[in-house]
Amino acid sequence: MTALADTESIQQLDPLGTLDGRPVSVVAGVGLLTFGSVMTWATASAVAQPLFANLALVFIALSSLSLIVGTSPLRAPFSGGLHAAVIGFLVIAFALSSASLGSSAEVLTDFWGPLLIGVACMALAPYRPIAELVTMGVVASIFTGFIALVQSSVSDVHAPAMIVILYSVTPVLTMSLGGAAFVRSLIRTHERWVSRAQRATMRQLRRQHEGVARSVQQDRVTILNRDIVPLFAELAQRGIISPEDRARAAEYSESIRELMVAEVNRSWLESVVASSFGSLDDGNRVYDPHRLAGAMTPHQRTALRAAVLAVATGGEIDRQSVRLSIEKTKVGAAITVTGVITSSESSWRSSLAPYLAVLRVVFTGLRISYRSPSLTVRFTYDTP
Amino acid sequence: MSIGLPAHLRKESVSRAFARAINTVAFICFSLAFVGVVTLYAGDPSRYLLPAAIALIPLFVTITLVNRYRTVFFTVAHLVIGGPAVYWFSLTVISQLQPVGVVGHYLLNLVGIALMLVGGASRTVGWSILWCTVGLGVSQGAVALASLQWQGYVHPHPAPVVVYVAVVAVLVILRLSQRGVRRVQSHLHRAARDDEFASLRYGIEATSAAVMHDTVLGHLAAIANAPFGAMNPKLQRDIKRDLEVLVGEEWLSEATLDSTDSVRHDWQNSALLAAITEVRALELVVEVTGDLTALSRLDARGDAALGPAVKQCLVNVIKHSGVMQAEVAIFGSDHEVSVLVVDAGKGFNEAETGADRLGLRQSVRRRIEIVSGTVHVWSTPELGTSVMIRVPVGEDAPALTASAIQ
Repeated sequence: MTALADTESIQQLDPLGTLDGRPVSVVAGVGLLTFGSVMTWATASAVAQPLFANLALVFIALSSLSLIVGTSPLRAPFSGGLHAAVIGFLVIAFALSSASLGSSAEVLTDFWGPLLIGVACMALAPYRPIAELVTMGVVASIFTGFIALVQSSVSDVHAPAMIVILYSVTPVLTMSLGGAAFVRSLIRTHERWVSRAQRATMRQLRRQHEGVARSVQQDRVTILNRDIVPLFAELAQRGIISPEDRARAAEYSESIRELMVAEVNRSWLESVVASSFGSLDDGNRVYDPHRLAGAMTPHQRTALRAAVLAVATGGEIDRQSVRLSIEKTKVGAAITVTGVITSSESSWRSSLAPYLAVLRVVFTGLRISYRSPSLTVRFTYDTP
Repeated sequence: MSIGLPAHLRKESVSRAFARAINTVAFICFSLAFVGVVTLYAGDPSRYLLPAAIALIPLFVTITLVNRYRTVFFTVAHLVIGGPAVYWFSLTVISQLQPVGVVGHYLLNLVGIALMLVGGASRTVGWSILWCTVGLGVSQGAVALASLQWQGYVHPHPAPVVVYVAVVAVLVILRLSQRGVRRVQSHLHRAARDDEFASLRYGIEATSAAVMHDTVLGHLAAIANAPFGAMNPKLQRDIKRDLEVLVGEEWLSEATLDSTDSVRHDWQNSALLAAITEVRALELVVEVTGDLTALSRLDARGDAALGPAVKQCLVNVIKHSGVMQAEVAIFGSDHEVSVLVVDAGKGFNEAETGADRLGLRQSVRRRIEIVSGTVHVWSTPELGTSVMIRVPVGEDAPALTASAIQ
């Protein structure tokens, strides 16, 4: 298994693909509660402790809610703690459901308990790294097997203990490890594609290099030809420096220096905003006094570049109102994007959700604050 | 590099991943069935269940092959071998566990479901469903045949069909949900390409600006501060040389495209030593210490960046330190070459230097950052200045522009 697979989830590597697959998570979340409720009702006659059965349903509802809300693109990335909570609630629900049957259980009357745990394990596979998925699956299997064993010991079950354990861990083990295999395959595909795409990009950039170099050089030579080259040519030929030459040299030096300082100080983000907003850009949309835009990683630049272009070309936000500010924090930098919404809340949320999902994954601590009509999005990143 | 898989690869990659997932589930089901029958046999040897365990062995082999090769041949082979194996397994379990009961049905369902979960040579959802359907037919046919032969009747169990319906439902949902964000994905790819191109242009512009700083601005400053009258012959020569290069040649292409990633081996001809020779001509006393052979590990781009950057540091010593002595210490490791430029001059506070001072920013920092190197400056007023420049070597050296950031 690769190091990437140990630390990265599919949600981090392919946030849009995970967003695409979210309906499966929602269906699974709704299915957990529906199936749990139906099965509790169906086995109601065997229930000796209704309180425990109802409490089990409460924990299933909590788990279902955590799964649906936690996998929302507006709350990415899905945390390890939430993963443990979703599975933990279901394990508790299974224990309560087993306890509710008392000694009246046959061979796993509440077989649906492990099934729910297995479904949740599989539904959460795209959101966590493989090592964690496998660990969670094995740990949940151990708990499930233990609960089933305890239940079989207090009720009249005609089956060997080992079969009872196998019976109960089957859905948990198969679906959690199946989910991990699903993720492993996607990560390997992703790694192979990244490797191929990097080689192709290198070839493309090498092809483009000559043309860009020529273009940049032409720009420089045009500037030089206007004033500097004539001065240098005269001096090289004449070999005498006059007071006018000194004054001209000082003047040209100052103007070139100013030009270069302006170039050095112009960040990639200012260039992107200027080209995205075109004539609407007033040069003051980006406030970055500490020049922190340069500290973003290539993925962060890509995500922000795509989001800026989407805002500049979409109709959800008043383009005149968009402002980006980057401030220094204790551990890095915080970006605040503000704008005035011109469309309905459902419209801008659905249009911007994919971009926000990507920003959430590549940046940290993304917070959205909407007070009609003002939208503020704030996120942070580390700086060297 | 873009974020995520491109849309055209997603369909196939999800199908492949799903096939791997259900093959894994099948393998675990076979394993649990194996453990189950062996446990039952160990608990009661009068139930002769070993043939059932043996029947599972070819299934372990074929499901592993299907998972690894995903061809029609291995998929069909798995089903063709799997049918008789499941029949043998079922016949043994039904004959030895009378009445079959919950335990027997559990074992029969495990194996039946596992044979149904054949994620074979399927590039589309349609093929995945077809293989699962064939698998369901073969497995349930085998179990029914064994049941009919031993018991005289067939008692169908709903579990395999329920699992089959669930698998088909998940496949369909996955397929239907792969359409929503294609447009956004293409925007992301475009943004990634734009970023790569911008980084390329940035790198070239930075190199250009550094060259302009070292040549044009240097000469203009020299002219502006020169005494009236005859020009210093060296300045005249330098201006002539640079004029010919700047206007007449493709200096920018050479400057950066001298960027074959090949590693140098002739440290004696490195740009760093050439820069030191040039600065010594300006009467600065430069003491070079450390491991000079480390310079041979730099690739052409690293060498081309390090030489002018160190030269600018030494020129700064001449211009600003008030002393005419400096030390250049060179260190090498497996991952980088480090050069420390030290003077005992009057020092400065970097934060207080004017915003228009370009030497350190433009000619040293940007130049080194383009090749993924780092620059650290320690300076104390009246005590001197040390500049540490680190440039990665070999496999740690950056791609053409991948790390160029603004």
